Amino acid sequence: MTLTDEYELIRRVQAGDTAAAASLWDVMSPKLFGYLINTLRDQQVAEDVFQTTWLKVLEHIHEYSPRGTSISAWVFTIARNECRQHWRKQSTVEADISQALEPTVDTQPELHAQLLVERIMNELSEDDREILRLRYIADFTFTDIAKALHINVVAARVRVSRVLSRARAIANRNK
Amino acid sequence: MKRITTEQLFQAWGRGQQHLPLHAGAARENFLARVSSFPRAEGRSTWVVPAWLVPAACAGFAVLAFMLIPGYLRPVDVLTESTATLKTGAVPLQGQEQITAPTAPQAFSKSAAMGAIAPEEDRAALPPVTTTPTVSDTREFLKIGYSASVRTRSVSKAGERVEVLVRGFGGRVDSASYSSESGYMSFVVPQDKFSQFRLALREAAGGERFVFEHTNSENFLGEKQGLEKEQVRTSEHLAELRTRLQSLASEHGAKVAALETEQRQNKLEQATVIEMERLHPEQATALEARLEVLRRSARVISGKLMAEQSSFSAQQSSLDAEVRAAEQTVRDLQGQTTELLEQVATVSGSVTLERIGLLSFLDAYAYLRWTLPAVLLLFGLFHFLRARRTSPFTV
Repeated sequence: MTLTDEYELIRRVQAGDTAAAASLWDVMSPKLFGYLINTLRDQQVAEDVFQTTWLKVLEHIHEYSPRGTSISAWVFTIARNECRQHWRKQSTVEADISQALEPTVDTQPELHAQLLVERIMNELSEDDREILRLRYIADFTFTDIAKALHINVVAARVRVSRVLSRARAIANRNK
Repeated sequence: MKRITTEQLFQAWGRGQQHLPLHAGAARENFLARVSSFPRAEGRSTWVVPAWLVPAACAGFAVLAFMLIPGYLRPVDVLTESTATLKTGAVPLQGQEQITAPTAPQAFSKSAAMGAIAPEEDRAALPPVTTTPTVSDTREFLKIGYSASVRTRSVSKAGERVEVLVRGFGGRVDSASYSSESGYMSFVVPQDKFSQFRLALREAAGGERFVFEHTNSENFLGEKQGLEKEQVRTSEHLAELRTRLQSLASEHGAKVAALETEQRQNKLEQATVIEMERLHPEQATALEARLEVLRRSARVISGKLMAEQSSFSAQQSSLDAEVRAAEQTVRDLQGQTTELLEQVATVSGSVTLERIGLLSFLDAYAYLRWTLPAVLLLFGLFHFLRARRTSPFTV
């Protein structure tokens, strides 16, 4: 789907087209929930924030303009704000990373890989983890990452590259 | 075991993390049920610009800009030549005067007309005006000609500035005419202030980008050498004439003295014969005859004296006239030398003023005819590439 098709879809959602809204939900929900569960580390909390995020999307979809920000970045911005609000209520700034998540893969190699990633994530800072989540779970482009983190695109590329370097170093240590 | 990169690891991990919540179905139904209850954006135009539209428009405007913005003629390098012959090398602008050589002083025209150098019968065979300069003579008598074309937003103001500059550098404005679109001025400035004048002119015009200059120079060494040779010749001729005049005078004096001596002797002899005739009347016949001879001789001597005087006067007048002519020639040659040196000491110049439009003015700074289309094309390309970017919705 090109950007033009995406804008057309959003326009239809803004006009109240249920089918278009369903498409939007179907495409974004796995990424959104995957991001939330990795950020919040709690199934129930993640589901609550997931619901709240979609409600807020519906509330403000008529205000959304395609210029400048992609719909994906916009929805995730709402989700990240909801996460921050949740932590504020809990008087914390981030989730307890040590809380292990249910494995989402079946095969042994994939499980091994997931465990390796978990180990790497445990040793990375929260900022680094956030970058990895946005890049690989939410499928953010560098432009979207730059907008989300309020940096320029080049800096976004550099940060992703550095995080991967650090992850590589951790992975090599843990071999 | 296949080795994977860290990025591939995280990509696989990321895909693996994407999943729906446990009660996804209910959440979806709940979401869709609320779609119709929330504010809609109906009536608000969210017309999406097709991906091709902006690049096409940019390309169209770029072509239009390239066709419509007048190409600004870049200033050619200032040509400065020092040759014995003139060349014109400037890229001519429309309306710019073609440069003509500064004219050499009209050497010898007066002396040639007067023909004072040679005797009257030889006046047609005069020496050449200009000699081919010898290699050993490395003197330079450069006459510089200068022309400039100034592009300006206000012709009259630019013209006034140039006039002030010319006068400020000790020059003289010979002619000036201006209209709202163009102007022309001719002037002379001292050669020793010429380079400063040029710098000031460029500065006053707003920089080299608005001034087209052409400079040429010609060495008048040939004319100077010719003048010098003629001066030497004329001086030698004058000296010769004066010598001849002196010789003439002394010869005449000698002749007159001899004739007068003869005349006195004749008169004395006449007196003696007359006295003898009185004392010896018997020899009167013979003495009378002798007296007649003496009287005849006296008349001849008088005639010779008169002839000598007449001849001397004529020759003296002729030589005097030649001397006066030669002296005049010397004065003329000195005048021509002075004129030549004065000509060389000044630069004859002209400035053509031409009004330029605002676009050309901007183009002079920004090469607008090229940069604007380039910017438009780049913007169009950037927009096209950005618009073609795949949506995050693509699975």
